[in-house]
Amino acid sequence: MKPAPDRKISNMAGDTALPRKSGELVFHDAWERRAFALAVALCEQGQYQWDEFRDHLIAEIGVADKTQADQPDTPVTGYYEHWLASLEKVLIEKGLCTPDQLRADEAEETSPPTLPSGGSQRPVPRVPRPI
Amino acid sequence: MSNDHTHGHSAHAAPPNPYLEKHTTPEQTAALEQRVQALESLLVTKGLVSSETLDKLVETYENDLGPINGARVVARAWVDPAYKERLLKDATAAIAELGFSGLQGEHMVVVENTPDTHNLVVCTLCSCYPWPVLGLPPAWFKDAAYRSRSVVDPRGVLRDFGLELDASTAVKVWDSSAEIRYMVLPERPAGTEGMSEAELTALVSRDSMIGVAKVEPPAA
Repeated sequence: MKPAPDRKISNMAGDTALPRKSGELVFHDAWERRAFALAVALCEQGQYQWDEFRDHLIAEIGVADKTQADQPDTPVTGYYEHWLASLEKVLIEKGLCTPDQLRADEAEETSPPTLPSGGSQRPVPRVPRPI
Repeated sequence: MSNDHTHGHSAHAAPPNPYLEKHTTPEQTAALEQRVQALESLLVTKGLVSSETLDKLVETYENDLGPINGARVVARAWVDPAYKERLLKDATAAIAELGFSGLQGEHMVVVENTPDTHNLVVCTLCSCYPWPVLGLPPAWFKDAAYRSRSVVDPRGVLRDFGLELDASTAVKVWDSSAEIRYMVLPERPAGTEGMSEAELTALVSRDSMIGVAKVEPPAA
């Protein structure tokens, strides 16, 4: 039998509902697809329960909505940005990644291509990203 | 994809959703691409995921979201006559009974295939489709040729799909709209008497619930 989508995921309701247009999932960029697949794959493997991931997603979206309500000028954060932040949180929570490893990823994306001479290999701690 | 939604009713698409628009700048997008790529590499290195699994998974969710829901409805109707009765009387409620929601105000109507009558679903105006139960519409469902020909020559359309009906079988064509979405309850194939509901669910194809195919008996 073909693998089937998990209803818990495909039928999430309310604010956490997957963005769709005429039923089709909406992904704006390739990274959104990858982030989607990572979260679903790790859950399918039993690394966490879907609700554990979803709780983070609810929280992320809740905070963003509140910020939006308080400061309407705040740029809207996309659904899969919340998704990615939730994924990172659940990975840390489950001990699948360390905060350092995730920060290393982020440092890579922001630091200049070459480290300053004599520079430490340890990434500079970063303040949490604003939501 | 929805450029042919000429009779623009709000029930076609989800209510306004801020996430349907793209919000990131090219720089942010590039940074996010990198962040996800790094995360994926990290998880692949740890042996937690394989890139191949991820590709398959995305494909499943993009192409196959939902028809299983309709198949469950059909299988239940086959094994539970009381459910079938409720389904044919008030499909929206009967489908919700199984926990499938996501319909946005439109009503579901389920039409039953019998030896005498074959039903075919089309949306002549655009591509209204009961996606919470059937998943994504196939490309041909949105095709202008299918939409117009189904009405004037349904038997010809069915023949193109490889379904030759007896001359004595009447064909009814159901035109979906923003308010009403149709789904076909196909005939239960012979030779499935001993099968469980789950086994039956696996037999039901999307095309049989649109009406362009019959449910094939299990391969011997």
